[in-house]
Amino acid sequence: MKRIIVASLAAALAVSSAVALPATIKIGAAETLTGDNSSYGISIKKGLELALQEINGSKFLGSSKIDLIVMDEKADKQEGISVFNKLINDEKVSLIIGPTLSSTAFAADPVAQQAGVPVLGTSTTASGITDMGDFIFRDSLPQSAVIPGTINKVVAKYGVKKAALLYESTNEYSKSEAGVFKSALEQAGVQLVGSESYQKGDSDFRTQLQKLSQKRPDLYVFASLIGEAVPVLQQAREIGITQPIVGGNGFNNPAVIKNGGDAAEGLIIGASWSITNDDPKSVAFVKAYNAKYGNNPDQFAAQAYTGLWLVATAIKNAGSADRVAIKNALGAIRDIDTALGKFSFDDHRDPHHENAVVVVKNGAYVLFK
Amino acid sequence: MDLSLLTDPVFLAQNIVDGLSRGALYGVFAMGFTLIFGVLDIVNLAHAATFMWCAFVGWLVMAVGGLPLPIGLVAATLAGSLLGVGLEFLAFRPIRKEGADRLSSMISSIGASLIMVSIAEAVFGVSTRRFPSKVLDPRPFFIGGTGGLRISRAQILILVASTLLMIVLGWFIRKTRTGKAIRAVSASTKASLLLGINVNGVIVRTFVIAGGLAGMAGVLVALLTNYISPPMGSTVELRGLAVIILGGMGNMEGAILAGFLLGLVETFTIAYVPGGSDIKDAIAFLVLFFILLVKPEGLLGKKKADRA
Amino acid sequence: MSFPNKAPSAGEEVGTQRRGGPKAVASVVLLVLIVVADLWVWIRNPDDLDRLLINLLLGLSAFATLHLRLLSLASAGFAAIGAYASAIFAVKLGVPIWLAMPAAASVSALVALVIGLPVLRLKDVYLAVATLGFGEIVRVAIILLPDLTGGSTGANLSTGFPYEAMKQTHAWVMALVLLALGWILATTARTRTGRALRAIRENADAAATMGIDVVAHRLLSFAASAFLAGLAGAFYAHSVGSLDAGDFKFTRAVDVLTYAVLGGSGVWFGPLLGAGFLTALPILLRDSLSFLQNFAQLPNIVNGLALMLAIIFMPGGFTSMFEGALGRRGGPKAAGKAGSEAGRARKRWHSAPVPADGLAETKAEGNEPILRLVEVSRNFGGVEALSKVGFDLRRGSICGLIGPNGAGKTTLINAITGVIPPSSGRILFAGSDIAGRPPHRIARAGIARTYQNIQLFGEMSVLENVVVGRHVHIRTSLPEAWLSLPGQRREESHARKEAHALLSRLGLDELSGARASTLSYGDQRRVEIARALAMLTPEPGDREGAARPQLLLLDEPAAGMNEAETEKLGDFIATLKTHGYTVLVVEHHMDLIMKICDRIVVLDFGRKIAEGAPEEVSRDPAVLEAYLGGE
Repeated sequence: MKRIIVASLAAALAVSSAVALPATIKIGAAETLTGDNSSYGISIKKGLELALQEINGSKFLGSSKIDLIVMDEKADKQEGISVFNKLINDEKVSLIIGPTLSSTAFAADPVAQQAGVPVLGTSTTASGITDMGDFIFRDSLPQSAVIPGTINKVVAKYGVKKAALLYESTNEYSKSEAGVFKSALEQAGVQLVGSESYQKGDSDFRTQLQKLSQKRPDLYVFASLIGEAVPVLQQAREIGITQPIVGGNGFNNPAVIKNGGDAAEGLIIGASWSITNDDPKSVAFVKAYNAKYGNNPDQFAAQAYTGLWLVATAIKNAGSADRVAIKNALGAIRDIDTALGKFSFDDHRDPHHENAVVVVKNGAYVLFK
Repeated sequence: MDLSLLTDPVFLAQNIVDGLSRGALYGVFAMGFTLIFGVLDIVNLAHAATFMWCAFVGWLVMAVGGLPLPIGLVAATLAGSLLGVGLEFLAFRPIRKEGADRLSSMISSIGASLIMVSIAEAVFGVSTRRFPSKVLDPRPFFIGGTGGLRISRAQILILVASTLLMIVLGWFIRKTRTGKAIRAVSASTKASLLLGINVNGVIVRTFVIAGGLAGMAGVLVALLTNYISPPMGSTVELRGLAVIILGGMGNMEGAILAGFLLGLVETFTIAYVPGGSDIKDAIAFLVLFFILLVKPEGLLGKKKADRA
Repeated sequence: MSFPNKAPSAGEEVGTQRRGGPKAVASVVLLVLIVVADLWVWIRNPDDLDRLLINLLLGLSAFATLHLRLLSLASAGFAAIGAYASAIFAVKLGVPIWLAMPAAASVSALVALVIGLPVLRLKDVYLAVATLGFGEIVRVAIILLPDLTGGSTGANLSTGFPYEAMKQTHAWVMALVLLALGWILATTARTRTGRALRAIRENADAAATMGIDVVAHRLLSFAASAFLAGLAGAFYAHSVGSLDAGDFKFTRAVDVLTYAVLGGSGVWFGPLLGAGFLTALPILLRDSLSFLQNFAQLPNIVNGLALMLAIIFMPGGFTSMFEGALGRRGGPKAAGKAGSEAGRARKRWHSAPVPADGLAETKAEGNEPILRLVEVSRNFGGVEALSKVGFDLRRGSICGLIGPNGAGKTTLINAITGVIPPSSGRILFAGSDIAGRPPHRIARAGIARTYQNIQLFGEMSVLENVVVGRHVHIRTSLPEAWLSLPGQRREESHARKEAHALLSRLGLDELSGARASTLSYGDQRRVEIARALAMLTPEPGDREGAARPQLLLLDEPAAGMNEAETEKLGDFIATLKTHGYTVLVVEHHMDLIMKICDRIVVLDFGRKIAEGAPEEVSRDPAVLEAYLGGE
């Protein structure tokens, strides 16, 4: 298998020396830009546009330019399918970035797989995404790659024996995140004394938190999305929870510190990327992002930014805007420096890179030691 | 395992406080909703969007403008009234003239809601906004020391406000001239015309009140949940609809009481039923379902045989 | 207050006057535009055909309930059941999908039958919220059954599923299924069932007294709606290849309702137009406004604006103006045709009198009581509206029921017809106790009525109103009608002839094409009488039917008529007696009562105060007292 990829890569490179890249290379992006879930899509769009500006501005692809077509898939499966079709058939894009949610990906990715168009998800973390076919990639680390390490570090530091879990049960992301937390705690020998959930649209979590606190755990684990992250934190502090808190991916957002204030102090997060990442590419990214948008990026922006750079790199390596050539070149990416750290795709087109555990201290994320 | 919780009196009292304040949230939201429904027979699905916009107005005044809470509440109330009247003139009156039925006005309100939410998304983005702690101190009081009964200022505020609103509006509808005119229009538009009531004037006043209630509710709920975002209205809407049916169409006191009931049912399901937080929505709607089967006009609804 | 009766108000009449040319042209243009827009969207992007077909199915599902003014928000819940059931059948059990989909839709329909019995007792908005609650419960159930449904993570069907093979063909098969369903609905509209459904839509109480089983029709329509929603859900499952509970939330149900309201729920293709419009619009907006990359909300804003404008300009839905156009075209033509038929029909009525067979046998059994009331009482919250009323009605007689206002006359008629069953007492009709039976069964036993407050099917033509009366005599089953078998058409045209005959008998044949609500008061009363007689008149040659006892209850038939009309009406009622009908008539015109009645029963404050021949009663001091005291 690997040999085939290498061989085709070599073939692609051979072609590139003879034939120049087209003047514009169309890349599509299908993201959630409107509606309840659009905060992710908008972060992603900002990350993509920053990367686009840098790639075209620095003439990374020589005289060729990437033409990025961003469309709104509204977090709707049918709209996702429709947008994918439009990008593939009308816009004739070489690759599609997206969609934002895994549920949309399960509906839309098969369309691209069948048409032979590579897809790069930058925010899809559910298991099974890359099982949909050999054209489906992602640069977003699945939860199982991040959470166990985080839990082990926290358990070791605080000598945790009993833990309690709160998660959103109506959302596939937090639900699977909660599942990974559960098994990670079990692996670390921690007893789960309570597990409570809430549903999308809930805004009062005090009863669940109160119920959990009755079990006197020495660690709280919250798997919430960004919308609920701050109220969950604040209400936890309000009812008098002082034990360490580990937050899921939803808590890895500058807004949690900004809006959570004191309640966010001491919050521990395991994340595929955080602002404390001191890789030079990451530092440069944060600086450029701040210059362009006037605020700090979140993980979704970082993964999207990296995603478009990975695509550009693959195009350059392939020397072609051909869909199959790009797919092969993407699959061959190993150990390159990105804003996410040293990045590789594994044989299953899933990402591999270092991740960080951070803690909120004095209103800023710092590395957890 | 959860039986042990039943014997804990502090936990029980806590659940009552939390349940009532959760219910007050639904009730306050539902008051304006049910007023329009009862008087004008309009399912105003733009009520949630009005509510959301008013929360943002409160946020602009208090978080951005730095003004104190009472001014924020007044500003949000005024904004709500303004939006209510705007909806009446742009979305509802043009249809009323054509003699359309309830469902047409509901569709029109869906269109209006889509526009209002989309504009809010475009203006504010969907990232969540919150009130700074200087607006209302988020630290709760503890009755009986730490580990005792906890109650936050926002909870006290919404409980007091919902009870006051219930009393004041009950009096207003029953005793004042405008209130009586509103009730007359609600009973029969034709008869009101014959009695020389300016029906259009009463309808506009109804929208002023209902919109103002949506405005107040927007700020109160945002204080309690600390969550201001374009989708915030749609998340309360479903329960609001349940509450106005349970409380009886057009019955504002009923809306608050039904809100309390729904809040308590949800909280107790979470607190005492194993796995309760997963099924609380189903339990709440099952209760509603059975109440409707036994009392088809709602818990506090009166049979309106003459209007059938 | 409830919306079914609010629609035909003053605005409706304004609309009537404006119906015609420009509106008809506008309707046709709109229809063509919607169809062209959908075709264009589909050609540009074949996968959007799935979306369109699913929404069209959901539109039909909404039609099935909203047509009966059942405000159901259960469509999302039924779609969810269909989707998951089909996924489980096809993926877990390996059932071929063309079997799995209808089976899954049937599961939805079964669930609808179970919850329909209790839930359909609720009226409009209460029904809406109860069905909404059902949808929420289904959603929670999906999340709580992860082994079956994948829980909130969702079920991914694209692996282990013949995805590619299906994608090629399924849209075409579904398009054919949709065409077949359209055909079924279009043909149903012309049958007794379609007419019964429209009658229920217009006036459920009156429909029940025409022998139509309202509960069964509602329940079956609810189940049909659930089947269609389930089919849409099943198709959705296989079209998108993955499912989660979020696909079937409250807003979906509202969308589906919007299709039906925007398109118009009076005609079956209304919701299809609504669904087509609301499917194509966002896609067209997305594609035409895509250059505004930084204003992603704009298409949604324009979409909302279009929705508002559409409903403001067509508050009755797209098809409301279409209906008007059709009505205008069909009206005079139908009336003209009716006129030419009228002469023949009238001759037929006289030369070969249809109830003649009935008459002979009825007369043979002359004097036995056809109706016997025994201590009939009715309480309204402690107030006795009827108190132990009892009297007999002889077959072939005309009995007057008089008394001051509020004496309980209409309450008694409501008790006999089952509209408001008596609190106690027995009502023996032809020997069997009918007290407390549902109205449609009492009607079928042979009791027809008219109403003090006219209860016609206002939006239907005069002729159709009377043909509804023939409901119990038409036998053709629905499948026969769908296949348009000649027997069904014969029966239909026969029913129409009968109706024309009755109308000309009452001097209404000229008006048979007019909408019932546009008639004068007196004319409407006579249409009610014709409708009631249509139900009682047996089929020609139906000896058994002719022998069946028949009772006509007239509640103030002369109210609103002038003197000449009243006199004619009196003559007509008198001839009914010679044709063998038994009549109980409530009237305030004492001249009329005195002239036509064999016996008179007098009620006052819910009690019978006198009974006897007209001259006896008119001399009775108690009666004089009641009337003088009353006035």
